[in-house]
Order: sequence, then C-alpha cells, then structure tokens
Amino acid sequence: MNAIATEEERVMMLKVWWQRNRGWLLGLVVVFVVGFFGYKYYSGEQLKRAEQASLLFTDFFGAYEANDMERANTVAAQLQKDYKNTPYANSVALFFAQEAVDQNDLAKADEQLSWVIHNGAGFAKDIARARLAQVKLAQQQPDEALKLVNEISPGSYQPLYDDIKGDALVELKRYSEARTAYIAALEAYRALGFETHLLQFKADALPQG
Amino acid sequence: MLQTIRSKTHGTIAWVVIILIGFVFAIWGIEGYISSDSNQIARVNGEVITDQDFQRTYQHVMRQQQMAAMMQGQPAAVNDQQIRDQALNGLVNEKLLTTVAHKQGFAIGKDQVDNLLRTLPQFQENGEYVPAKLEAAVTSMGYSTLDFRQAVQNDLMIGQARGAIVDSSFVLPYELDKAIALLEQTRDIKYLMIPAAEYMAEANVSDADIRAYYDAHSADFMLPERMTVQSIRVNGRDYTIDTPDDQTLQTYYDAHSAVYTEPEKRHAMHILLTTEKSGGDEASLNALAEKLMQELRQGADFATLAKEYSADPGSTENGGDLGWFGKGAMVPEFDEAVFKAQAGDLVGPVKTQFGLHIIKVVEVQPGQLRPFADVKDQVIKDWTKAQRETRFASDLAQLETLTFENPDSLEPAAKALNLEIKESKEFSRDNSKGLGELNKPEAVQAAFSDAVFLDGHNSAVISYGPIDAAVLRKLTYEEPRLEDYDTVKDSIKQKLALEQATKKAHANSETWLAAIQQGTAPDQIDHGKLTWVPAALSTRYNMAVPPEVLDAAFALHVPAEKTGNVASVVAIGDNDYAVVVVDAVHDGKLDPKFGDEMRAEYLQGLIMFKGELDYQLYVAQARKDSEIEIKEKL
Repeated sequence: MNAIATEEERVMMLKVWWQRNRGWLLGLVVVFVVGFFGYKYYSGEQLKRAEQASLLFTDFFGAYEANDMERANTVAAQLQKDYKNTPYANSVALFFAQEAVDQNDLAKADEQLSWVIHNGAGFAKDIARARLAQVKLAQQQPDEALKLVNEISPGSYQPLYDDIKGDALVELKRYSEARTAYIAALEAYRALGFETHLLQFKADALPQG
Repeated sequence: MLQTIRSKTHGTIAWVVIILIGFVFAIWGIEGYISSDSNQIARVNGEVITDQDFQRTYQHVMRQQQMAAMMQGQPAAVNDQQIRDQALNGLVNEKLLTTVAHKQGFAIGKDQVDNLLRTLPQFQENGEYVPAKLEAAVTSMGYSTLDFRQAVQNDLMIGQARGAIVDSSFVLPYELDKAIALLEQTRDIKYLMIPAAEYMAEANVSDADIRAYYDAHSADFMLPERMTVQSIRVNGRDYTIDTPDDQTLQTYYDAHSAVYTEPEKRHAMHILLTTEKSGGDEASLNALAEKLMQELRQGADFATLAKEYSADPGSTENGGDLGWFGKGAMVPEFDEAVFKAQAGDLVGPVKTQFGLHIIKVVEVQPGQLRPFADVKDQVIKDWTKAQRETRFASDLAQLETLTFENPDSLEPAAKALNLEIKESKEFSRDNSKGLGELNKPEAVQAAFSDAVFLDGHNSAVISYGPIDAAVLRKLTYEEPRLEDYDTVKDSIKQKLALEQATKKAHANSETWLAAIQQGTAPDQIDHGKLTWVPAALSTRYNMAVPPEVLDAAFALHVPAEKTGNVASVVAIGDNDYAVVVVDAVHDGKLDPKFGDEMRAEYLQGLIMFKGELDYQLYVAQARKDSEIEIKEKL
C-alpha cells in the first residue's frame, strides 16, 4: 500500500478488496450461519426426542412397578424401536433383565443385557456387562463370565468387575487369583468409603494357596 | 476513516462486521460478556455455582442442623465450617450429577415438571392445582419460580439415572446362597483365657530392678515447676453499706426518675393485607388498601373489615385487636407508625415484611412515674448498688496505682485499702488447684508471666467480675525435680510385676499353641487352673464370646478336609491372651422356622446393597469425568 494514499484512494482500495474477496467471505458467512442453525436445530430435535422418551419411560416405569407387564411391554417396544439411542431404551432393558431373573428366565435376562451391551452407550453398557457376567455364572459358564469382565477396562466400575471376577475364578478353582480380585475390590470400595464385609468373608473362605 | 467507510460503501462491510459480531453473540450468548467472575464460587462442567446459590443452600442446611441440634438439646454443636463444606459439596454434587445425566442423554421436559407439580398436594386447593400456592411456597424458600422449576427438573433427571441403576439391580440365587452361607456361617470353637493376673504371684521384682527402672525412666518421674503466690483482692460485695435516710433516697429517686417510670403503652388494631390472601399482585394490593382506608375514614367498622380482609392469624378473630403493647414489641416500621400517631388516628398503609398494614390506634397510656413509696425497696437496692460501684471504682484505681508503683510488694496497697495478704498453696501450670479461690486460667497465666515469674513483680489486676479484682505476686518457686525414689517405688514394682506376668501369659499361650498345632489335644495340656470355654455353633455375632476371640476364630482358615487342630493366639487388651481353637465350620443356613421369610429379607437387603454400590460407582465415574473448579475456600 502507498503510505501517502489519500482517503479517497484508501476507500477505493477497500472497495476493490471487497469486490475481489466478497465471494468467499460471504460463502464463509453462509457456511457459518447454516452450520450454526443446523446444529441448533439438530440438538433441539435431539433434546425434544429425549424429552419424549423420558415421558414414555415414566409411563413404562409406572406400569412396571404396578406389575402391568402388558402395558410395560408395549411402551418398552416403542422405546427400544424409536428411541434406541437414548438411555431410556437401555434402562428398559435393565429392568426387563431384572424381571427375567425374578422369573428365573436366565436366557431372557442374557438377551436383554446383551442388547444393552451391543446397542447401548455410557454407564448402562458397563453395568449391563457386569450383570451379564453374573447371569453367565448362574448358567455355570465361568469362562464366559471371566471373558466378559476381562474384555474391557471399565474405569470406576472396576471393583464391581473384580468382585465378579473373584466369583468366576473360584468356580475355576484359581483360588489365589480369586483372592487378589476380591481384595482389590474390597480396597477400591473402601477408598470410596464403603466397607464390604461380604468381600472380606469371601476372601477369608478361600482354600489356602 | 470509519465514518468514510460507513457513508461510502453503502454499509456493505459494516453489515458483514455486524453479522460477525451478532454471530459471536448467538454462539456464546450475551452472558459471556456481562457476567462478572466475582459472583462465581465454583464451576462444574462449565456450569456456574453463584454465591446466591451457595448462600441459599447454606442457610437451608444451617436451619436444618440448628433444628436437629436443638432437638438433641445441644444448640452449640453446630459447626459453621462443616455446614459450609456440606452446602458446597451438595451443590457441586447436584451440578455434577445433572450435567453428567444430561450428557448420558437423560432429559426432562417442561411438561414433565408440570405433571409432577400438579400432583403435589402442597400446591393444591380442593384437589385443584393452584399456581399461586406454588409461587408462595417457592418464594418463602428463597427461590424464584424459574430456579425452583430448574431444581425440580434437575432432581428428576438425577433420579432417573439413579433409578436406572439402583431399581434394576438383581441378585442371582447362587449369590444369595453364597452370601447366606458366609454371613450365617457358624463355627464350633473353644478358647482358653490366659490373664496376666494369673501369674502376678510368681513375679519376682528385686529392689535393683526397681532402681534400674527408676534411673532409666527419670523423665516419667519429673515433677513440673511449681510456685506459691501472695495476693490481695478487692471485692465490692464485701463492703458494709448502711441503709441511708429517706432524704438521700428521695434525692436519688428524683435524679433517676426515668428508671421508675412505667413506659408508654398503646392499644391498637390492624388489618394485614397480603398478596397470598388476596390472590392479586402488589398493585392491586395497594388499591385494596386505599379502598379500605377510604371506607374506614367514612366510618366503616374496623373490626368487621379486619375479620374479612386481615391475613394475620393471631388477631383476625378479635377483629384485628392487638391489645396493649410497649415500644419495640412490634416490627420497626409498624412500631414507628403506631408510636408517632395520636389516640384515635387511622394510620397506613404501612409496609412491613409481612405485607401491608392498616392500623388504628385505639388508646394511648403515657409513661407514668411510680410513687416513691411504691418503689422505695427498689430505690434502696439501686442506691446501695451504685454506692458499691462507686467505691469499687475508686478502690480499683488505688489498687492499680499502688501495686504498679510498688512492684516489689503488696504491702502498700494492702495497708491503704485495708486488705489482708493471703498465701496460696503450691500449684503448677497443669494443675492449678492450689490457687484456691483465685484459680482461673488468667490467674495461672499471670503467675507464670515473665513479670511475675522471672522478675518477681506484682501482676497486673486480674478481674473476677464487675466489682471483684485481685493482684498477685510470687512467694515461692520450685524448679522441676525428680520425684523421690521412695514415693514411686511401689508403683514401679507393681508395673514391673505386671510386665513379667504378661510375658509369662504370652509365652504360655505360644507354647500351648505350638503343642496344639503339633497334634496334642487341647485338654491334654497342663495349664493349671485355667479352663477351656466351649462355644459350639458360634455365629459371627455371638455376644457370649469376647470380640477379639470371635474375630480370631472366624479369621482362621479351616481346610475343607480338616486334619489336625486349627488354632491361633490372640491378645486381649494389653496384658491378657487367649488360645483359640476351631473344631468345625458349618455353612450358614437359615432357621427353617423362618426360612422363606428370612431368605426374602436377605434377598431384598442384598439387592439394595448391590444397587447402592453400583450407583456409588456411577457417581465416582461421573466425578472422574467432570471438570470441577472451586474458586475459593469458603
């Protein structure tokens, strides 16, 4: 730029600059605007869907608590079909697994918990995995149970996994590993402020060596 | 330059710039520019906790704790810092669990909040939802309606996440069986108590042993430094003051007539208007007040209107009549209005924390001086008290001056004030009983202060009450010294004997344990007068067995195919031991009499416990996933 350009010249230059660059500048603005409102719209829709799922879930839970399984099943089917990626679909499966265990239908409990592991997200997935491992233990498949809890590293849920790992290892007669697992769980719970005597008793009851 | 751009480019560039600025606002929101940091006390996952949030929760927790402390009759037990921590923790936890639940995809819509609020009986009248009731309740808790709805929304969301984990928890039959087998396990045990006392008679402690112990542990036998003090004390209650003649009393009465005047009292009625009762807003409430004032000025009956409109539960029944009251009995605004008015005046509307008041002052009883004859006894008391105080003030001044100007003696002050110099018994810093009636922490501190203790000067004046004071000085001082051997000899002997006996008990317990572990039957062992105590089928909760023994018995590992004896030694207290033998372990079974019922209860308990543990892990994970920033220590 010329240092002694007059006001007129500078305005001219700006105009020229604008003529040259407005294409991509306006394009950028359009991309921003569309992107922003698109995102706003998308997250708004997501929230609305989640709120609908929440209302449906309240409906489901009322029916489930009242043991109105017909109604619970209808609402649950809708949740698991139309709201698959919400935590409500996962919660429904966790409740159905509980119901199945109550009815001693371990195959069905297995099915529900597996559904969460494959379709769910977040905490429900970690919890479902632990509960499925317990169902496997009840089905006398300690190898399967052990595989489930060893497959992933579940963060804060580790003591829950270690407890089950201990149970599975006892079934496999790997006692000293079982003791290590129980004690790890016991100490992790203790660090969170919980005393779990049962874990201590389980560890104490193991055959020596 | 800028002006040129604006005028000559037809605003095109400015338009772009404005869009860009507007854009920024739209993305980050206007609050990013105007909120100040000073009001934030914490930030959880980007959500702000403000000072107002904190104060509200703090007040709430404080009230709860005070109430609880009062119920237990310990109002002083409330710890402010603990409450601050608790309030902040609660707020952080709430924000944390809300944001994490939201991230997991939980959501509560406005409709769902409404659905809940509608069903709560607190906000209903005749089975109908009344929004005004909600508003009143919410305001009284220090919330805005918006805040409250947000809090309800958060609560529901946290509850959904919690419920998904806790309420769906289950326990499989094998887990229940294992738990019952372990928790209700019984063991056939027997134990031999070996108290040290059993071997006290055999203990052999020589004088040389005692002397050696005394020499080696001289620090334990040091007596602390001790002193005695001299003191003089001026006590206004000891003065003899003769009853004065009536003339003196009359003069005193005249000079202090305000004290003997019955204060002014007023009799008033009021109508309390509140939006809660009227159902309208502030403005309509003011209009109502004006309308009632008008009616009253035109001669309407106050009591009738009070019965119809007043929201004051205490006085409405009596037509708003509050009776007689003195100045300061009512809230300040009300008080001022009533005591400024004349009898018969209509005052108002006056705004107070309760609402709007319309007040009628019915009668005024001015302050009345009570006759001398009626209050003579009181006047004598007051006069005597004043005499004591005057005399004490002058004595105190003398005491201060004379003890300060003669730092090496109490004599001059004692002589001038005609006081007796008293001597204390021996006392130390830790045990100051010897100070007798002078004993209090300030006196001990004064006695061991540099001026008194090192320099031997008089102490400063120590106050024992409004008209009671003393000064002290050092009389004798004894340095720390070792206690005489003869005084402590017996207790050392006792101590050493017990040590020997304890060793003997321990040695015996280990010897017998070794024999038992090598296969000797426990009852074949020669243990003198001691006897084995059997406890067959002992549970983990057997109260008849000492807890140390029980713990040891259940900690012992017993192989499934038991061969030989399983035993251990456990210390009980500082001096006693026990040998514990486990003969058999039985898996826990529920008493068949209550089997099904007990099993169901066990199942419920286990499910709840497991669900709660799972949820606590969820909370721990949520905490780990969160960004928590506390701005300052509260």
